[in-house]
Amino acid sequence: MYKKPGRNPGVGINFHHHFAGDILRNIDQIDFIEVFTEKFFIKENDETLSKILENIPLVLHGLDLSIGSTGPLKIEYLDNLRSLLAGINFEWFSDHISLTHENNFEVGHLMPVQFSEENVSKISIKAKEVASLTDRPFLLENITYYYPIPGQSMAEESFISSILESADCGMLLDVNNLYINSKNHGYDPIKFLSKIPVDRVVEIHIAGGSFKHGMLVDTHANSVSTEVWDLFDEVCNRVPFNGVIIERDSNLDRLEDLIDEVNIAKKIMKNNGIYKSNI
Amino acid sequence: MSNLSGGSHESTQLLLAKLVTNPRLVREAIDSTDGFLAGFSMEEKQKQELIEFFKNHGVRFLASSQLLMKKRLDDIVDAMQVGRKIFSYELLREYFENYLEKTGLDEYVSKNPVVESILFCKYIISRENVDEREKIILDYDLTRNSVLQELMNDGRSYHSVIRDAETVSCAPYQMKVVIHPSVKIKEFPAGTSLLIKAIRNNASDDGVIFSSGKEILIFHKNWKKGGVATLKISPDTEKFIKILAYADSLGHAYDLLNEETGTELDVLRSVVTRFVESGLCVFQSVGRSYV
Ligand SMILES: [Fe+2]
Repeated sequence: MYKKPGRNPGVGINFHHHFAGDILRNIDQIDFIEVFTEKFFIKENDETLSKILENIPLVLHGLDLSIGSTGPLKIEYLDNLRSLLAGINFEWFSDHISLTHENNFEVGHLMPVQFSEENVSKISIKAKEVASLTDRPFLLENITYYYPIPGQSMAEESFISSILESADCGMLLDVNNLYINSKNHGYDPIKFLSKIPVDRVVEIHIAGGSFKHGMLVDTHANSVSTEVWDLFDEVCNRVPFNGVIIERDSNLDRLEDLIDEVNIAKKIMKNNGIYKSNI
Repeated sequence: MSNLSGGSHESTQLLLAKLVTNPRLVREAIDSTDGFLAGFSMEEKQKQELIEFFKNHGVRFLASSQLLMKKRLDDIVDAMQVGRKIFSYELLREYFENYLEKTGLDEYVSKNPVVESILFCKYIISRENVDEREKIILDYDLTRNSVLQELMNDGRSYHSVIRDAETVSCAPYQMKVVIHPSVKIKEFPAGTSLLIKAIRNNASDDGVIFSSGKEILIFHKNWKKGGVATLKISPDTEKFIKILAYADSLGHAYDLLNEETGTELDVLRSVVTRFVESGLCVFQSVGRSYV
């Protein structure tokens, strides 16, 4: 049975190898850190990361589970995941409702899956399998998608909700993805929130996007827009989450820029009375 | 006519997954949908859905494909540590488009940037018009990245390794030398290491003169800092490293080396200490412990 973590909400960042030393120096401003699950599959000792993890809690975020593939989960990936989860201290772990490979063909990015009953059942069976690897919560994240897969029979919000309910798992709500999808596909993000099981949301992602090819694009390479901060403000009001991660993967010159965004998130949470102190 | 596999039945999800990795074919699918789909055997319903899809969402599907291609290229360029400093991004983009053109959609290539950078470097060396200097650099990048790829695939843990050089002198027979099996030793034209150093430091490499001779480079897991390190070594050092990797223990390696080269133990110790300090090797205890 899915159980929500009891932690007070905190704000953290995703791990940046290039800024590992800076992260350690600014550790008192960061409540927890998110590291790509697959980074730990390479058994390399990263001394600075180890020091960071001595100071703040860790959450794991996977990219390559590919839970939306038509076939079963890859055994090698599951083996790696199982041994990682058994050997590391972490709060929760997550991946995306998407696929990165199909029938052994690697797509190279998070591709949307068809919103259908058939996929709800396939994905939730796999999510249960993954969740059973540990007693810590497993979360699934909403992705950005620019086109629907033909033959869809469900709306995005009911697709996501059905998966979360039937897999009995937690959610990672990416506020930037929600904002981008709402703009690109023309829906109201607040209505979307009212239709998903917000009690299951454990973690929030906040990131920057940009306008390219005539649409909003999830880049993880820009600062967070005012619109996304506004939506986050609404989320603070409506969603009982446990942690926020400011996501940035590239185009970052100074860690301070990310720390500034951590502090903006904390301020918005304080204004909403939900930021206590360190988690 | 597309170079997608004709005749076989593919699910819409798989067809789009393949297609999105190649913007040129996406364009073809949008511009002449009927002709494009004629290459596949599919039920009428699936065909109609795809026709609708390309009509209504083709532009965004193409944009998605272009974004993916750019990200894929950016990650590959990022993995080409030296090559990215001598080729302009525009030129690499042109090469990448040619590379995609030659890579059929049914070739199940890895999209891991390190793995794909190796394929891409090999492609440029063999199919594009590059000079000797450029070939050396691409060869250097692909050799380095093939070591990195093996490191990434290495799921073993090395819990009990000893990284400290002090240990070298004590109990050599209870000490196994560990050089990571991904290590590669390769001959390059003499002058290569100077050329790479100059490019890495953003300095001019005009002064680097290539002679007809060779130099030996070793690419190895850096046990100290992580990642891959490169070192220029002499033929004697190459022999030394091979014996170290082969021997059952450090003491055994000393015996073999002393027998073969007559080198004194003190000299061997100082060389091994240097290897440990540079991150080429570590030690593991061997034999039984009675403590
Ligand atoms: Fe995210």
